[in-house]
Amino acid sequence: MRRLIFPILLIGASMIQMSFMSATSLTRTSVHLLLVVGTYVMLGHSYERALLWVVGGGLLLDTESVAPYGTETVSMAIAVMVGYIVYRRYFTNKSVATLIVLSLVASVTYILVGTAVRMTASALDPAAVPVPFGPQELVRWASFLLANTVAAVLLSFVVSRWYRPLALQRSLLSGVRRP
Amino acid sequence: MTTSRSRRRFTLIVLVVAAAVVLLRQTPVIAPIESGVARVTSPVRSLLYRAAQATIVPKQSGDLSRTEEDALRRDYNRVLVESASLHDRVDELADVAEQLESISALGHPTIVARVIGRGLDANVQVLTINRGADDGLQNGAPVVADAGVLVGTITAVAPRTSTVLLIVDTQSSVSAVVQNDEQSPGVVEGSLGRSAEMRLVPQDEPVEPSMRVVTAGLEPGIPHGIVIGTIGSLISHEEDLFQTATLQLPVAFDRINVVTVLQPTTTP
Repeated sequence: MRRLIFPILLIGASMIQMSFMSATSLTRTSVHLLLVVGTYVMLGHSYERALLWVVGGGLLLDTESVAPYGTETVSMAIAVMVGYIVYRRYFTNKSVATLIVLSLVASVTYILVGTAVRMTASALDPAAVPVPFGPQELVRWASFLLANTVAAVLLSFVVSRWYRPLALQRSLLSGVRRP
Repeated sequence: MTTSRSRRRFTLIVLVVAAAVVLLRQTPVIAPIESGVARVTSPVRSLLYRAAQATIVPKQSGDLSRTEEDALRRDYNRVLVESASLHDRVDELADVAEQLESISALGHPTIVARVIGRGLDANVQVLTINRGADDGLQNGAPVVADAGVLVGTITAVAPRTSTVLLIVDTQSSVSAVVQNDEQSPGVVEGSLGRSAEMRLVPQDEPVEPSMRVVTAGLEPGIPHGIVIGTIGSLISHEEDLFQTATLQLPVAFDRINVVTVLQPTTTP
């Protein structure tokens, strides 16, 4: 039964992302739920589980959104991998501050890789939607980064309150070394 | 070291499996699975989309309730489409049969679809609908809402779902004409993802606010005469070759729940 929880959560999260988060005016700046949760799991639980989460979720999002060439899968997988490399190299703890930085790193990576994949797809397929780029898009990306970071912090507070096994360290800037 | 190596191996395996699935998506092999996933998730996604719609606050509700505002908008759109149809009947009697066929959605095979999601990228204004290649949808087909107002075109088709690029997206471009005596031509392009402008209208064309704008029918699959909106204001400088008009769009793009896809007519 416990093995079913992961895929059920994954499918549920992908449907919420596609049909609720992207359509409601409350989160029109598009918090990326799967990426935020993936980043949190990478920090709070394990890299392997986070990679499975983002790859599985990415495949579902690609299928449901008719996205070309695994845009979501590739973007989120690389985002979590880059986030993990940054974490291993530059951080010694699992504090909320670490989560904020990793969330920003993962979101920036996601945007860059996603844009590159979409540009490639649009170059290869004339029917694909061209990728817009301009001041308006930069503003939206900035709000995307901010929204994801805020969502990650909120998620850490919720998890810390309700599910201790995945909780981060209480201090915002804890000096405790990772195991 | 062992952990690091096993982690690298795990990453490699996951990425290879993901790449295989992504590549298989380009072939018909995985289509039945995609179709099954879409069939199972579509009802839940439809419910989630409706729940999301309930959170949207109307921009200009005034003293009207949202239901009243929606009813008024539907009525207005119906009148707009009917008046466009009447205009063509009066002005182009010779082509009346062809006009009626192209303007009226009834002249084309239609497929009604439910909106089940929006785009993941906030920079691209798209809808996901619950009809796809299995239902006969094709890229480029026009999509209308309400009484027959153009809202976008199909840009990607999966077995059971499709993506609609809305005309308010900055990447959207549809050739159009103003319904005046001269049938002034132009191109309707999205503006800021929220509105649309009619550009490349020749400077000497007599375009005025409130004139209706309809599709020109130059793109394959998009018939002539689908209502897009009305002229709002004009940006015109004498030294320029072209003038630009902002459009008033009669559809609330953040509240589209059901759309109709116009299929190309089959000529005997």
